Amino acid sequence: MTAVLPALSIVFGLLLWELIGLSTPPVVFAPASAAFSFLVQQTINGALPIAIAQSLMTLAAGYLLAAAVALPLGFLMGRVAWVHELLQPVLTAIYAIPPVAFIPFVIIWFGLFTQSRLAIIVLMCFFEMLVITMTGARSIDRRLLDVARSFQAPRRRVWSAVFVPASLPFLFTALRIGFVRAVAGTITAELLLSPANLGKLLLDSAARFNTAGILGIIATVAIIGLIGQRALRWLERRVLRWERA
Amino acid sequence: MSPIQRITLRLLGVALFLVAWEIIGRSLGDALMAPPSAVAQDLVTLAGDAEAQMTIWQSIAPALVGFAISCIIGMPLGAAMGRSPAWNALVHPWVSTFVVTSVAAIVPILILMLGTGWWFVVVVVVLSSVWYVTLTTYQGAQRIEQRWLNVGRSFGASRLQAFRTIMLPALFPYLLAGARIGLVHAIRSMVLAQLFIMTGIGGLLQQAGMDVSTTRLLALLVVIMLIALLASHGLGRLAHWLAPWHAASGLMERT
Repeated sequence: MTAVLPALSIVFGLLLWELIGLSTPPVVFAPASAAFSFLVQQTINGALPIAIAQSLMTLAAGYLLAAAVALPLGFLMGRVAWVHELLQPVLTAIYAIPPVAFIPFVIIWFGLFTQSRLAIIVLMCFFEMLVITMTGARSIDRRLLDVARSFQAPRRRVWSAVFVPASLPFLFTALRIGFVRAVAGTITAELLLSPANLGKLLLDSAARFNTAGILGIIATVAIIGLIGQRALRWLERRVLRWERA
Repeated sequence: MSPIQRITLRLLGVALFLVAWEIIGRSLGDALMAPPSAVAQDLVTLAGDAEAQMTIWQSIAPALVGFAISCIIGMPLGAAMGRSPAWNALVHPWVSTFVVTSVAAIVPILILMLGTGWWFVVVVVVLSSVWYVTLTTYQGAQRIEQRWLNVGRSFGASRLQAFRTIMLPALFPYLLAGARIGLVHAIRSMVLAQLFIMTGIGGLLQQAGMDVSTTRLLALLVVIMLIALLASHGLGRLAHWLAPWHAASGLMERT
């Protein structure tokens, strides 16, 4: 019974959306079917696939850039005590500032286009990934390292047999949460800077009071987030076979 | 590492950061990066500016109301999901969809539906933080062992008693962790919502972004940082007052 319930719940939710949409005026809320036909129409005329592809390219660039710095730095902070003590207070302070608050500053530095979009995506996901990696690296079980040392394992063997397997779980968590933040960063940047790609489609729909369009794009953003997260989960499960047991 | 070394390193880190910022700020100029000395002066000016203070306090209010609503909805919902597989199967797909949906994408339709008033900010805050409160509480509720509840039942505890004396204390660290994460997202989305409609702190930020100098902008970032740190600290104090026995376990620090 609990196996079919999620599917049932989604169908029920979509039906509810349809009913609310049908019973309210279209300027306030549109039914699911209208949102779907908007998406189909935008796919046929090519606007939606292009917007998605371009949004995803910006997203990937910002996300990879952030991960390339955040994961090694997080690891360093987690494993080397003096680096941790040196950087921790400043990091905590900057991390407390909501990333979107930097937007006016980012505009001054990078303008309104691709560069500043990248900067916002990096700001949105960098600290999250850094903090998760750092916390994970700090909590690598001391005993595992001691065992390796008592068997006089050479340095490389300690890395491949202890560090890497112990680190993969939290690295995956960092990548997964970082991805969700990066999607949020992309759409925020495309809405609040000069409108572009999916953000532009969304704002154009809003300017015409086209709620079907708005809801369609929101659903698209939600699906991108879900697919990305599922894909990373799947990869995680394939790589971390031992974790399942 | 001894405590003295630790404190020295921390202070050194902060000092190095401030010195580097000061040097970079002086060489780039106010237009690109105001140095901390100028920002500190502006913070003093800001502290004397009653109007700016009023704006800041007024913009925090909807964030707090939204956060409270998130806790009131999210905590029971998460607990129900953790205890009842049927509830979980029904609600989980939607919670995990909304948690990955960036709230920025929902803002334009909320403006159409609600306008740009006070409640708009509240709704944005709720829609971004409630899922984190729910999911964290859910994880906690899942970890309550049936054995503990069975013990309660064998001693003839009523449902209410079992809830109050077994469920609630076991859930407490998770409720607190959920509230912490929810609060972070509440403050983030408050700033986001206000940037969109240019009111409150978001409006002040937008205004400062138009200035020739970045001094005011950086001062505002420091103010927001202080608000966020204070709110999180306040929540910790509240939790300590509500359940002092958990503070000793150290679970709170890690979550």
